[in-house]
Amino acid sequence: MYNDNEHLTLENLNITDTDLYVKHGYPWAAWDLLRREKPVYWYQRPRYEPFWAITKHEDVGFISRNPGIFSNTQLLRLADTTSLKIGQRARIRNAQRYGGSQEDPPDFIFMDPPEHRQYRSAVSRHFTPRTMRALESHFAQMADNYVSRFAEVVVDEFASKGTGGLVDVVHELAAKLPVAAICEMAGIPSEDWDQIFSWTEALVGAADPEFRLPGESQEQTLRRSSGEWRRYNERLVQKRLQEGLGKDLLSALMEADIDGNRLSPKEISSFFTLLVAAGNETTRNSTTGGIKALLDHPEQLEHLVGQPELIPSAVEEILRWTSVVIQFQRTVMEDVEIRGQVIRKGESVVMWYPSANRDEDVFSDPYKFDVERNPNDHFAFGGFGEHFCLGAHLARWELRSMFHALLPLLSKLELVSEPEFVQGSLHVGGIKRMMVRAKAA
Amino acid sequence: MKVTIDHSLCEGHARCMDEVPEVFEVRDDDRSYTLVDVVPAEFEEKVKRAVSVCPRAAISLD
Repeated sequence: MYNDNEHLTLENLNITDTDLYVKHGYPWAAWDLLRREKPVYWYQRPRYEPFWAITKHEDVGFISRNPGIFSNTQLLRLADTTSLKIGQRARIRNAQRYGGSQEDPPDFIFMDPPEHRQYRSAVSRHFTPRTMRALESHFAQMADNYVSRFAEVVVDEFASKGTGGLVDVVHELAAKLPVAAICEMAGIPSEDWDQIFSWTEALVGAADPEFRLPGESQEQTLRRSSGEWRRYNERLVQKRLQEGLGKDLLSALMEADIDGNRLSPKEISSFFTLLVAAGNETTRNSTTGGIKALLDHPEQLEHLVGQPELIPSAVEEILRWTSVVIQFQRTVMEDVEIRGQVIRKGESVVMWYPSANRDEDVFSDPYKFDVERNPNDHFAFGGFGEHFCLGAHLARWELRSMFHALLPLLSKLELVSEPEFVQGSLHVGGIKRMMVRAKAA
Repeated sequence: MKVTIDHSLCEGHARCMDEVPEVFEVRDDDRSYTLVDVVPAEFEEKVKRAVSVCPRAAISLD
């Protein structure tokens, strides 16, 4: 039933055309076919450098456990040749303007061990389960506030327009807690959170004309928003220098010690932007997608309302089900075999996480949304290993708080239309709008 | 079966301790430590599971 195109073949399938993602959502049928017939597939299509498409859970796990063979330093996210050129020009410009070299890693995800471990450990203690658990009641309180305000908007809309009163889940609810939580940790004052949110939308969604200023190209939007964000970061750094360091992420980056050296101002700014953007973009989409999943599966929602202690398990299923990060790429540093297929040094592999999260060999009945699924060893935070999502526990606690607060309200809502996806995004399955309304009593 | 934890990777996700509290303990420094040098036979299967669910792939067996 998920093979909605009976004429789909290895030759004509397409998992890189972002227009298809916008129109039909994720290409589940193509991934199913790849897992079944050619789980290590040499993918050649116009506008993309050829790569090995990796679609099985086990193989994503193997690559993630072996950062010595599969390197992050060259290509990190699959992008079309136009976007790659924009990225390359940005590196050159940043080196000219802010120092260093165009070969410098744009952020620490572009590093391999041992360097990656040193940089990551500068901030990792801010994200441990213990640190997050200490914030549990704070997150719960914020989630309650945001959900109450959202409920008021839904009720007001219904009161004034009846079933014509539509509310956008993304901007009125899903975006709120992720931005607030990461900005608080980062040490960004609350009056700037809206600005941080729009820079994030622009950086992630520059390929979508909706997130550009009138007349801007994709590249101009990226240049403007990253430039503005960089200057903002520099002002925050100046403030810390004048007023002293705190316990926030920016201070942690400013006092990081890498073999006796401090980070450069360019590194501090780009690493800070990475943490803040990654922290607010992903969880927003999981929240929106999770709301859709529960509204699409009323029997699961009802089950959860009756047993709220299942929320942690439901959150894991939402993470698996929504799989908001689509792919990361690696470059092979030595000849290696996966499933008998030889992959040559210098070639690249792309790990398709949503496919791994529907792998029949790991998940029984993978297309069933089951809030009690156990075990649930999903790769929503990437494969286990060197680059496992630093913010995984932050995301988990945010989602648990959010769905706990939202549960009583959800059964009173209905989805008005399918989610509207961000155009041109092959890294994060971004939802830019999803309209709901109060059910008529 | 001997079990070791790579402390340059471990970040205290505590999945190992959830699986086998008899063998793994996450301490206040946010790192996991083994409580035994050799894994007792009765825990071997659980320890293998801990290895496979460690988010940082920080546990190895030999």
